Amino acid sequence: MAAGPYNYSYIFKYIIIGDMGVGKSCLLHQFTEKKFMADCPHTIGVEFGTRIIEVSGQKIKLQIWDTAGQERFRAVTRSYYRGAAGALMVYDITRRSTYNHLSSWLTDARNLTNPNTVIFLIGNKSDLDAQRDVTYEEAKAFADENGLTFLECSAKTGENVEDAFLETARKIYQNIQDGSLDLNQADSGVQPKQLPRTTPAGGGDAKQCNC
Amino acid sequence: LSVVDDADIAETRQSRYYQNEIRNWLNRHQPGMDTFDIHSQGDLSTYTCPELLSKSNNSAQSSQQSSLVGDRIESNLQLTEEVRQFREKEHGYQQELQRLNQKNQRLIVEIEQLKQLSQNRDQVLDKNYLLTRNRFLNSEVVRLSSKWQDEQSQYVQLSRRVIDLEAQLDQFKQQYVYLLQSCIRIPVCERHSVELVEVKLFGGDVHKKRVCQLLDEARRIDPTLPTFDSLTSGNSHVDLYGFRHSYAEESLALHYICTQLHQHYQSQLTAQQQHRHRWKLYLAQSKNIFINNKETRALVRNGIPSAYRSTVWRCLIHQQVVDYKVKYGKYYYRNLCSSQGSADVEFSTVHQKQIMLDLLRTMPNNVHFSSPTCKGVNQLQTVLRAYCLHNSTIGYCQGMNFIAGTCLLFLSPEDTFWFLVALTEKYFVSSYFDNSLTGAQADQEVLKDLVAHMLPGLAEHLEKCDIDLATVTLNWFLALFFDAVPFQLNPIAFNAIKPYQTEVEIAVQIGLLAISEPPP
Repeated sequence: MAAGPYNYSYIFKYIIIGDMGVGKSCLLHQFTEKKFMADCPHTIGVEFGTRIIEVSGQKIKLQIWDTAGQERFRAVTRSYYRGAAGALMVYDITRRSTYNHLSSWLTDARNLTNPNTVIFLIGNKSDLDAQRDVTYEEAKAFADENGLTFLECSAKTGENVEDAFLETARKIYQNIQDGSLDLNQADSGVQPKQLPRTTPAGGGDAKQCNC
Repeated sequence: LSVVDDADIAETRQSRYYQNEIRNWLNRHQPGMDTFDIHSQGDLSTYTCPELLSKSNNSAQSSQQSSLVGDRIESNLQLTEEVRQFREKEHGYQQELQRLNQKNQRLIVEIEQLKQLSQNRDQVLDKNYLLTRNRFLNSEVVRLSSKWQDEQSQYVQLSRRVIDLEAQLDQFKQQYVYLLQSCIRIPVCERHSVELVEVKLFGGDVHKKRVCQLLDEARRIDPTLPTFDSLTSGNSHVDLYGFRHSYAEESLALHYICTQLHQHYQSQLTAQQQHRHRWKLYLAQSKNIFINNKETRALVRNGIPSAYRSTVWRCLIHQQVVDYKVKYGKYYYRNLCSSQGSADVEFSTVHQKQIMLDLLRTMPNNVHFSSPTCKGVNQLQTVLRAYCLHNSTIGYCQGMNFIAGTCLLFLSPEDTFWFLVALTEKYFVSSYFDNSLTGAQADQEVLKDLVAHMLPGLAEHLEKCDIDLATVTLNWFLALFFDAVPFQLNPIAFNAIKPYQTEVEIAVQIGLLAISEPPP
């Protein structure tokens, strides 16, 4: 079969975390739909999106969990950290408070994921440069300090959004290649694609769950 | 008759004329015979003239005078002869006259008789005619009335059939739009997105034309229904509640119209009208106090008619918080609104910030909530702030904004505030919306157990896909299904929850999940 819907080698699990209203859902939407969602109700609990990308010639399905930002939902969303291969930690460059809370988010991410989880720092709303409250340099320094990859993005214009998701995937893939990520580990956040169960007659791809 | 008269008169005149003629002639020849009376004598033949006879006797005796006498006799004889002739003639006339008189008399009698006869005949004719006519008319009446009866019964039959067919047609229309609704699908492709839905309908634009026709028809009854154009080509339709609907794809617009039509048809059903009537009676009887009994439950289960929704909600809420209202006083809500903050200022500031962030993210596609200047947005802010000041332990929890927003579409801000109070402190345990959502999370576990027990197929499927059910259901609990069901259904879920609290919510959830239960 040619490039069908199930034709990918790995599933990578991502989570998107960060304060309320930093634009987590919009980043996800921009990445999966390639457009800005101007008016959408905020997330309660957890939402979900997927997209298939290509890294080094390998098709990879990204399974992205978008979480609610309100403090009290952390109790719920914490259970989604487990088994995430990538964590996108988002703040809003126009609101310093969201930047200030990063250390708390980082603590959660570090504590609840495995050591190989790639944590990517995203400063969102780069299109609102006039209202900037956090400088690039300051955030870059924080990222370097904590060993994070950092990009400023705009879910509105789409600037750097693709890069942030793809860069994270590249890092995870690299971890697989160099053996630092153990695929057999239950919480690695990476699943090699389940081979389709072939029927005895060898009738090609059997229908599987499509998530 | 007049002809007879005239003829008679003419005859009479003729006889008079002859009489006069005779009299003149006699005068001329016998001037002494004045006394001669035709009328008295009657018959001229019997008339004898003594003078003439004596004169003729004298002439025979005198020879001298014989020639003269002979002449005279001659002339006398002639005259006598003439007289006789005239007498005969007169006699004839007399007879003729008599005959004519008789005839005249007879004719008069006859005329009288005829007159009488004609009169009688008229009478007889009239009566007969009327009788016949009456009989005819009677028969006509009988005939027509039987015909009318036939027609009438046929008409009754036909109208029954028409009613049957119309009911059938209505049912078909309803089922048709319902069927079209089920033609929506999510195609399997690389990018699984909820936005990627399509409606596949066979038959070209047949269905579009048909649906538009049905829509035109329905809009005559309910003009608030959208038009096809208002939904497509960059336009947007604002529904009853203020939500904007706009579709890039015609087929999706069609799908939306079908949902609206289906609802419209359902509201037109007699059963629905009866249901509304029952509500009306119930409200009149209950005097706005609802007792949780069989009748109330049955009514609520079948839905609160939109006309009574506000009233019923208000009463249900009031019943729940009436003790609070007594405790805090009449002006509690107003005082909270005008209050500048509580002792715990910093705490409420955090909530205030979070509320501000969510105001425009509550119902961005609703005209009452789409911009910072909208009335709905301001009311929402006031209500949520008042609630935070009222219960700073719970404070603002995302999800309350959806609930309050929905309520504001039907209720006043104050009632909305009391609903939040009733919901967080009466219907649900207070830990439901607390800082770690303890109650809500506990309910997720209960739900999972129930699903494993009642919908094992679904539970297994979720297990296989490694998906936590709470991912889907937590927001159902926290926002009372705000984004889980089409908005039109949402008030129904609200309705159901108000009288029965959490159990119903779980029941509704299982119901919703059961829809997605894979077939065994």
